[in-house]
Amino acid sequence: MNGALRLCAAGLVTALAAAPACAQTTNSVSGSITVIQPVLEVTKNSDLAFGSVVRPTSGSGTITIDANSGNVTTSNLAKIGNSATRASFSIVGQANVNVQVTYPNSVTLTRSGGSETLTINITSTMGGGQIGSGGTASFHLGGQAVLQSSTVAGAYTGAFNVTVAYN
Amino acid sequence: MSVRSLAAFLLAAAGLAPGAAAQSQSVSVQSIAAEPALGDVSSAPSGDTVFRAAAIDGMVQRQSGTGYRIGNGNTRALVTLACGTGSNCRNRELNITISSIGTPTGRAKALSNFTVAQGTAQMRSGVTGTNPVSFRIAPIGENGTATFYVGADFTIAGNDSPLATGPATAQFQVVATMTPNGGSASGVGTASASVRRALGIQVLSPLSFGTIARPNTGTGSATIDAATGAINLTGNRIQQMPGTVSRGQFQVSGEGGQSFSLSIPPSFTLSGPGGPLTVQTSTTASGTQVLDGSSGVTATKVVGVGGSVQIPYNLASGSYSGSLVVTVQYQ
Repeated sequence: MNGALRLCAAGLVTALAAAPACAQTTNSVSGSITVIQPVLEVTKNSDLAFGSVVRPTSGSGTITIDANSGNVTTSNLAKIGNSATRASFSIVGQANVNVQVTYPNSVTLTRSGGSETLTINITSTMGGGQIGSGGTASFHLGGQAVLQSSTVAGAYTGAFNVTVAYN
Repeated sequence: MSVRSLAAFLLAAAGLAPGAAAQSQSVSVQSIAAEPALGDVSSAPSGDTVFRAAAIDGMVQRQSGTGYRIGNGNTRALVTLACGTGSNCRNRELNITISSIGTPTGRAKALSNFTVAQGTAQMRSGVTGTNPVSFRIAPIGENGTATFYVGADFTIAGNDSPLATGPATAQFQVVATMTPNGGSASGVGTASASVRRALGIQVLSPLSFGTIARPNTGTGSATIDAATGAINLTGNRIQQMPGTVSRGQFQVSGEGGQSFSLSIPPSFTLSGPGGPLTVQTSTTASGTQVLDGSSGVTATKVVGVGGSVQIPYNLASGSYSGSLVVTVQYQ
């Protein structure tokens, strides 16, 4: 209604000479768009894998994968080979925008073929951070597993979600 | 009614007037031009529209309402009086009275607010009243004629009226009486218009881009096709999210078979937390359009509106809205 009135008044200026004033019929078609942040793409490049270790003969032992360096350290147990790796993720999103990475502090692994569990702790190189100017970023997860001399031998696996969201 | 036949009728009426003097000494209303003639007129969507045709110059101005004349030009009725021979024609002034008469046709309503302006007639007294309007003129003289102009308020009913569109007429009567106690004569004039029902615009759907995840680099775009409503996105990782996407659509209604101009701005603005965003519009129709069908019935035409908007990667998230003003006018 306001729009019609405005047009009417404006029309008067030019319409004095010939055209009948305020002769137009008007109506408004509304337009809208809702814009949200770009879709983030999070790609897991590698899993968090502790590899094979020998459980401690007594007491407890630990194997720790440093998230920042990927270095593997052990205490009171021995690792077999060098297959332990940190998890690696890459993000594609909006350049220069802050993101928040959320992950569980601990994850329970279950022995394949059994019901025994093993709890690992998770660390990350990024809790909150910023996507680079190229629209990409990456981060790594490390962790620590504590094994007892009583831990049942076997392959322990588990899955957990890592969420990246704009902050 | 043509001027010629009108004059013949009036002469007969003059002869029947009570107390008329001998024919040779009678005044007659020789002719009344069939005006004011407004030509093509658009009704108002609702309510009356009053057009005033001024006696002084025939300029037509709208007094109230939202109808309008589609054409233009001045119009006023020219009344010609005549007198025969004899002393009455030489000596007697004429009282003139003008009033609304008869039943209007079409969307016309009764005439009112009559005004008069001098032609060759010599005005002898002030004009009093508006319906009837009365005044006095000097003797016409033997075998003389005298003219004056009549203006009036011509009222046209709106679309909310049950009255039919098309030809519309309203009449007025002119009575000329010799004074003192001379003959009298009368004549009828007709105001006319050709009335179209008002144009209307009904919005059927908004132009809605829905929800879009903006690109993560550079500038993307969203374009909605005016004809199909399909949306096309460009940009790095731009993505349509769930939600309604629609082209704008509106329906123009009016008198069948008539042409009108349709105007849609080339762009309009969406306001929101960032931006503003400019939408470049597209449409399935613009410029001169013709409504289907023929005069006497309501006809409609549906028009689609599309648009294209640029979405930069750094556009603030949120809802943006605006409106696009569509204008139609009879031609």
